[in-house]
Amino acid sequence: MRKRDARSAARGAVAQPERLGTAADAAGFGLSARSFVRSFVPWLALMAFLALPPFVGSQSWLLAYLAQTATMIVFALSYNLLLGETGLLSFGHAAYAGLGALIAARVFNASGMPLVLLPLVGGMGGALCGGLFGLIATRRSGTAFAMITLGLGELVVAAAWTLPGWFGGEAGVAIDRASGPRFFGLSFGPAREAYALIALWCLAASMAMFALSRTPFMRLANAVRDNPARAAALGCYPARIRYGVVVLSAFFAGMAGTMGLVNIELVSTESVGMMRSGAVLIATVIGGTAAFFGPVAGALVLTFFSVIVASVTRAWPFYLGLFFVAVVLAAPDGLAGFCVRHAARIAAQGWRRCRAAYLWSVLAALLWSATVVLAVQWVYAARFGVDEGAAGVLFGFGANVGADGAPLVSASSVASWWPAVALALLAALGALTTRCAMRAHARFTSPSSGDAR
Amino acid sequence: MIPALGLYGIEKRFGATRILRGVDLEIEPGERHALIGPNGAGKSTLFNLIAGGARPSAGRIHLFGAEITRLAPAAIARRGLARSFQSTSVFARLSVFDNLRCAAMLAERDRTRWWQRVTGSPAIDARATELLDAVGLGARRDVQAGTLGYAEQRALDLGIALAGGAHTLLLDEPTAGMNRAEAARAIELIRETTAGRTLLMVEHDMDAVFAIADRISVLVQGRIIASGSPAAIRADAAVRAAYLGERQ
Repeated sequence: MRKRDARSAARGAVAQPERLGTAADAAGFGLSARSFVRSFVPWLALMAFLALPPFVGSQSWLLAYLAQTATMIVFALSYNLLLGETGLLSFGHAAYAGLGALIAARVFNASGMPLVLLPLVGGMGGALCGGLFGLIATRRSGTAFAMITLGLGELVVAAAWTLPGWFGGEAGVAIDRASGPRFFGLSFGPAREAYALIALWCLAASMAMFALSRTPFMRLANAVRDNPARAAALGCYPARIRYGVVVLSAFFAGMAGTMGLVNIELVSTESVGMMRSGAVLIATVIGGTAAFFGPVAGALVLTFFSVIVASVTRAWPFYLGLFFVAVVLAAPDGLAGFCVRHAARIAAQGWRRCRAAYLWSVLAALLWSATVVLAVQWVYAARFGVDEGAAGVLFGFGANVGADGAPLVSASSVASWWPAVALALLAALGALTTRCAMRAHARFTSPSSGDAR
Repeated sequence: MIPALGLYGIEKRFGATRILRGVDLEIEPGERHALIGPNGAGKSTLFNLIAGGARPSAGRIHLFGAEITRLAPAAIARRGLARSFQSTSVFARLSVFDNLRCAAMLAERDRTRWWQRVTGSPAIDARATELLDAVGLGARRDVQAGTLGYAEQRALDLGIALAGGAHTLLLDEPTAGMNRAEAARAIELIRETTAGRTLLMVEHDMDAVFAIADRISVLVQGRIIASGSPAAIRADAAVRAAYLGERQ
């Protein structure tokens, strides 16, 4: 691992300007034309992801899924202003999103303002909360900051339950998104129109945060992240910089919360809770905090699990957790860092030399995934029987459940032993291919320790 | 004349241990002053007190006549005192150029309006570029600072301190951990770049001390036992016994 880092560092001299990208852009020293074009690719991909699927099919689940993804993208990007740019680990980020959305819902219901501008109101609501909580939280950094945000997050949840008048209690606060004044003939009642609004706000917020991440102010935030004592010795107050970032981040979090409000027309107490704060942390870390588009990738992965996988099996949090642990172990710099590293390796070694190693890796990953999925689904099917749907029937648990409510009865039948055999076989194959893959990869890392020096 | 930096009766205790036992020192504007002394004499502690990293148990610190004893590090920095750190201290995940830009941005604060925190400004970039060349890192402009070699990081550290535009500089062992050639280059760099500024440096390398300093103070066991020109210090019997003799 370390060897590989040293190597990429040594080789990184050429790649650095692009990856940092910051100095040159803002200073107006143009990057080369090719990397300028390449810097647009992620944006085009994001636009394509948001815009194309609705033309293919406009089932309501698809729009709901896309809207959730768009919301999570903005939410995770706002979180990364704290975690990636300023080095602040927050456990209470959902509070800004939830309270921003709550304020937006209250304002919308009271004033009848146009729905189009609602995310701005939510953003300002979020920033207001950020300004308030930040006063306390940003006095410390590191673990103390994390603990304070955890406490504040719990505080908001407790307040949500004890003040049903403000937070709407069990039912939450609902809006009717079609009740505002029409905007160029659009009522935003239909899901398609609401989704278009959400997607556009997602793009606008992402671009705003991208621009923000290139500003000198954010470089100061980076400086405070890297070395607060040094930054202070230059005459910069680290706590003030942190405060500024918390307010900005809370603004975009409030925006994300309001996009969710537009989607489901409801703010519930869940939207301020720990689950949501944990989800955005997981999304950001999976995607990678070092690259701007890392959290976007993480948001895509997270909503894939929480919507698509969740629609197939109730074991989805298990898979998400497993994937999270795998990412943190194998690529602490997230999917973005993983891709950058391996793209650099392929560029340096040539695809032909790397091919075998990657093919073995993919094979090993597939085999292990199959093993895990099979094992988990088996256990879930044994436990929940028909509830698990198709999987339960597949393993032969479905039939007996209704009769006596003891699904494990059928586990003793000979027919249901085949998964155990299959599991053992798959695991053995997985171990074998992992060995091959590791050997193939070792061929790259061992000679490289020489050229790192 | 008002001294650039005045220390009056500085004491520092950690529990029952007295690290500094009443340090008095005045440094004239434009002077290059070296602070030498054996390990554990309290040199780095004194630096930390001056820069605001900790507060003295007793005594006052003046910067151009204004008391800075109880100010925060950032507030002291804004009054024109910059420091380098004993351990290398750069912003590891920023590019070399951005390291200097951050420092320059804070230096130009009188002329920097808040929106330039958003848009950047050519004056800041020009200053950062100037410093980049001055410390000889022009070729490493866009490299991540954390990946630089040790000597280069020290040079960048000095550049960051200088880019702040401070009139008074505290350098803590600027040549520590360098080989002879690197140290010689660093000394030359310090001589060139600190012209016209007040300099207080801690240094173990006697070549560096005698090459740079106008005046030398010797700190032994929390007290300044001698202060004077390099020639006078070299000749001082007490210093020879307490410090120089010990090393030769």
